Amino acid sequence: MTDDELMEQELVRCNKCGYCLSTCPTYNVEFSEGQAARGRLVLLQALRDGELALSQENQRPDSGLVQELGEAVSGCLLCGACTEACFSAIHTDELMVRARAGMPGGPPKGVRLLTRHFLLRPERLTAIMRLAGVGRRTGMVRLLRRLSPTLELAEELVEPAPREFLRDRLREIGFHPEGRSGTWVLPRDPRALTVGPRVVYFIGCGTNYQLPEPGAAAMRLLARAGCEVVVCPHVCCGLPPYSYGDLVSARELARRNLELLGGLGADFLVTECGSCGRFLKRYPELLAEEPDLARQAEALGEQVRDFTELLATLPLPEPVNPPAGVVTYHDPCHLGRGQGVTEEPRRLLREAAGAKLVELPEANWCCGGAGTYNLAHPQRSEAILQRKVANIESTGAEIVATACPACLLQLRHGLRMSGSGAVVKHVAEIVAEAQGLRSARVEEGVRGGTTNCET
Amino acid sequence: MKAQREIIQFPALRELRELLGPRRLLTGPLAEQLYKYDAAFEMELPLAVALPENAEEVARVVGVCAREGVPLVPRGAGTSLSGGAIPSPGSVVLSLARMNRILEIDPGAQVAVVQPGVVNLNLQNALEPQGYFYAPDPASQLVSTLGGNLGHNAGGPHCLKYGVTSHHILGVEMVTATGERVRLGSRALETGGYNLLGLVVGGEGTLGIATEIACRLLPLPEALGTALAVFDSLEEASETVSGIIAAGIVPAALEMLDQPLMAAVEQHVQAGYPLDAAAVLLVEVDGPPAAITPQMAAIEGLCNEHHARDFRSAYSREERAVLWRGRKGAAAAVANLAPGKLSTDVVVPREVLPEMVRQVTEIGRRQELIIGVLLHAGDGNLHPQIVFNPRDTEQLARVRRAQEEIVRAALSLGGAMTGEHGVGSEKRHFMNLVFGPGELALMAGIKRAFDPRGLMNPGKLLPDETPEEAERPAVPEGTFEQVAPEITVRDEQGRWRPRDYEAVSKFLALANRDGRPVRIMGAGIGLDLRSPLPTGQAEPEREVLCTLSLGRLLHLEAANLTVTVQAGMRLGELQQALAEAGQWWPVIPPGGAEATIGGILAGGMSGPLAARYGRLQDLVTGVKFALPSGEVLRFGLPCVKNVAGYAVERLMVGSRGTLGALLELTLRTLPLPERRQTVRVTGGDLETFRVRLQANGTRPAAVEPQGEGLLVALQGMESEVEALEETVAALASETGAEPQPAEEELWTLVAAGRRERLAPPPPGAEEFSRRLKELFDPRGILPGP
Ligand SMILES: Cc1cc2nc3c(=O)[nH]c(=O)nc-3n(C[C@H](O)[C@H](O)[C@H](O)COP(=O)(O)OP(=O)(O)OC[C@H]3O[C@@H](n4cnc5c(N)ncnc54)[C@H](O)[C@@H]3O)c2cc1C
Ligand code: SF4
Ligand code: SF4
Repeated sequence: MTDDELMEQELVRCNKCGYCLSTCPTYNVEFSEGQAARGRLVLLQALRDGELALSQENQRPDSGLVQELGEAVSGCLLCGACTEACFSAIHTDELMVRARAGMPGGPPKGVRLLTRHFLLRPERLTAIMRLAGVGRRTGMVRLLRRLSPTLELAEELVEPAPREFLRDRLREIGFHPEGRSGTWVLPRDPRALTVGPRVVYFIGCGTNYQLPEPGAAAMRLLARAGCEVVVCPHVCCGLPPYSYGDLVSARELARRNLELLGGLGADFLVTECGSCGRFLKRYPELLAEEPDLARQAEALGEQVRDFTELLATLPLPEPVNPPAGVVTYHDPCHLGRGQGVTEEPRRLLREAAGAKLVELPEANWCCGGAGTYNLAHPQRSEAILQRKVANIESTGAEIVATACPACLLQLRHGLRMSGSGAVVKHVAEIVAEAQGLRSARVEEGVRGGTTNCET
Repeated sequence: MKAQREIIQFPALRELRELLGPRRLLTGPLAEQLYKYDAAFEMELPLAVALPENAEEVARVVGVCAREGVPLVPRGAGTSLSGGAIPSPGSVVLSLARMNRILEIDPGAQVAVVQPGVVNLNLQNALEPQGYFYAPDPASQLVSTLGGNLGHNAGGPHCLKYGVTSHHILGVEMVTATGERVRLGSRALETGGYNLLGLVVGGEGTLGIATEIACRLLPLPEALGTALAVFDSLEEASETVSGIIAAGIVPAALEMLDQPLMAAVEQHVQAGYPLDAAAVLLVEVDGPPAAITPQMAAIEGLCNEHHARDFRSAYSREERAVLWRGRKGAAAAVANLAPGKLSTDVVVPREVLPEMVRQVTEIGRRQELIIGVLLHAGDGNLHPQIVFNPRDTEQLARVRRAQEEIVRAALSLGGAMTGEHGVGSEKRHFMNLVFGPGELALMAGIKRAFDPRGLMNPGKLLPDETPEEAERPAVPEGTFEQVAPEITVRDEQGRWRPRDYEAVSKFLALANRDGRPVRIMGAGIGLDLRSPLPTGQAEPEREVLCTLSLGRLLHLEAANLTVTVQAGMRLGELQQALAEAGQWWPVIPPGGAEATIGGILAGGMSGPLAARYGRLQDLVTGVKFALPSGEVLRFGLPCVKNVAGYAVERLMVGSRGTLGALLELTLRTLPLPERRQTVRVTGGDLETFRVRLQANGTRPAAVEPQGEGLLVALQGMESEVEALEETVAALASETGAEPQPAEEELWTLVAAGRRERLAPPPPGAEEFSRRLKELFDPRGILPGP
């Protein structure tokens, strides 16, 4: 189906029942139709039908109308909550991406540049990240600033960069280089209760450059559970440019990944980043207009597993060091709704980590992080986050578990601002600690305003 | 830019923008697109959109618009299916979505006070931990707001047992068409004065904007049972429904799906429905645990008797959810059939439901459309769901035709054009089929009384062509003294007793012509209950028109739970006739069995059973009355659900003979409780006893102070009453009180003593009452309000 057919087919099915208002996080902080799926779809429909005419004068990207339209279209978190409430199951998130692609002036030029010069060339990306990381602040911030130059919050949001990226730490985790260049293997732990599958580990950008610890914990756990873990070169999954409506870049990255990750002779492609996992699973749709590639993508997509999805199927010994406090779990949008993985992380927390788990009210509401959304729409993102924080506080949990780096950052930021003492960790970290798989340099997560990953 | 131009052109908008700021006053092409719709078909661009955050802002927005002559459209979540929230041309949409705070929950008084933008389900969720619920539960409850529910008088599956929105709204703060803030109703079950609130509920935002709503809470039922039965014939499914009601069971929900809908559901959610069956029936009962089993057993027996080919029952939350799955999935299943869907909404008397479904099927065949029917079978409300492709204009025309044919079919079967979705903009043209010029003129007058300049949600509810003045009936020739004795019989007390409705009409027309004061009277019992005249005002000599000569029972439609009687029928006689059909009208008025139905309704005092069975205004579904001009008008129907036009039948309740002479009334009846038991409780901590008893999941029918003690009515199924007896005994021993069986007759005494407790009408709305009085009785021949 072409993007255009998709648009037509979806839009016509919206009967404006408004059910999506009930779950749309942006509507529920602003209570205006322009910030709900229904209104967003009506705008697209109006544009298609010519009812909302962008005249010569207001077609310029800087015209008031285009900016307002942009606010509605880019204001979408792509969280997919509306689809769940919608009888017609309309994928507003995907339509918003298509709409971003079609905005006057197109997707932000910076995204295209970023992809061409950095995302497609990981060695360059790593280099600039290292450079930017010199000094206290992370390079992420500067890169992100290129996308959205007016961000005071950026520095507040993004935590100090780690000294070493995940790929720098493979040896320390137990990997050794193998065969084709850039390929590393972590052998199965001899203590493993079974011989598990051979898996390729997909290291997302957030994981590599910002939050290596969850990735490291996930790798160790997989090995402990009997997997042989392989790391090889690949590029960004493509979700960031996709979210900005830059489908060209997203497809380029997807094609590149298909080349790099196809035919590795592994059973699964695993990641602990809910967003990367979901996007990898969706390559077939992204590449639908190229049937050959779509078929390859299909095969790859079937191999993709979220880390929790796979680990939950493997036997682990009883936890030796269960978490001390009460734990609650936040469903990342792209893992819960996006991949339908909701039970596995909870089961891992309860069983493999032996945690006292309390259910988080509205656990599947978006936290407002949504990739770089918090940087582009700080006020709305904050308001959405406040609801999440209030829910977390209502549980009295001391540890908040989740399974996506973007959520981790956002939740930490939220709890820091609220002054809550709760710690935010990835499921992988909690399970790894409970299983006694401690990292050489223990990272305790972030408590209050401090982080100890620099110690 | 256009937005700029509008601001400049309309000084009102400039002012509003100063008031609300640019983020809460939206103008321009984008805002126009974003608020041009609700969940109905039509669309219209607004001038601007205001998003006020409190009542004061609403009042100021309305004030500015009123001064500048800009129309206003109140909007909640915009889920109206009739176009109630679609902008009127050139209007400012006033979105109340940001006014979404629950202001107070008072479990003791069983009242919650909320802002109008509170989402129905959010209120339910806030109440549940406290053990309460708000009964109206429209399917859209997860998104629709209480203000919108009030605007359309929304219903839901549970309104068969618990009643629709109007039964549960106690009071509002309203911003009037001129931007003033007034209160209507109170927090008490019944408020004195004209029932203005009864008009505003279901008024579709055309009479004013509710900015604060006091709603009734009920204790959550203790236990639930759900049954699902599959039938090979729609008739047998419908007869089962009638059978259940005839057996004295009032289920919490009674929903039905017809064959095409079942097939769609099965395809979509695999609920286990056989594809060749004709109907599936879903029944839910609630109450004390002991009462569930016998009711479910009775339901199963009835289903078997009517050859259900499959019967399943469930009690736990999870198992019940499985049975509900198909019903809950119906909307999605329909959405899955075709891109577009039109959910129509008509009501017919319960016994003609199968005939109505047959006609819908026939209409579908004729118009070559797929129509599946969803029925709130318990109250005769059905929603034929027509699926289509919105891009196919030819098909769309057929959809429109089918909708019109469905409405006409319902009307010809004695039904209503809308049961819960409202008239809005899309069903306005049907109003002429339902109402005559006199009724339409009166409703237009009501509209003017509240909104003289026609700025509140214009183009909704009333048809375009509303006669300013309907033709008045000709006044008979001759003097009052000549004609009155010919058409009435004068009794010993000198009261005029009319022979028929025409006599009432002529009598009033004559008196009206001559400016002769008249009092309308039933059995005369209410006269003693009249509020005293303000000092210094002499009561004029009045001709008394006594309705006792109009005392016949007209139609008892037992299966439909309605009865139509003449106004002069005495309550005792009515109850006797109903009892023969196993039913009653659950009212214990101050006047007792001698009082006339007309007198009871005009008096407006419901008596002690109101909290359990509804107030008078909830127990009347239709009225026929004569205006002082002699004109005879009819509002409402023998249908429990009907939201077409202003609820004049509710206004007449408590109007005390000041607006017109009631002639005929259609009442909602209920199955007689299997057992009725009165207990008098004395001594001990009675207040604690009362509070705990009323918070009990199974409510007594009434609890009232009587002398030194409390009188408690235990009514319902045998098992229910037994359970209640135990509760009463337990609570009594906890609080050191002593229960003793007592006479049923005591309740009439209690009722008579109760009148001081009608809450006084809040000040501020007198002007509306005065205008209504003038509308109905311009020459003032009837007593003042
Ligand atoms: C899928 C679906 C299912 C539905 N199911 C049901 C159902 O089961 N039962 C049912 O009854 N309805 C149902 N509806 C119809 C609709 O949801 C109800 O009419 C609901 O009450 C509208 O609420 P809202 O907040 O969306 O109000 P809106 O649509 O915004 O407004 C409704 C009307 O109320 C007026 N209004 C809004 N706020 C105020 C206020 N504060 N003061 C005065 N007037 C006001 C508006 O002007 C308008 O005329 C359904 C609709 C959909 C789309
Ligand atoms: S829930 Fe779906 S059909 Fe309804 S308004 Fe939202 S997008 Fe449209
Ligand atoms: S994807 Fe999320 S933010 Fe976007 S419209 Fe849907 S619910 Fe709202």
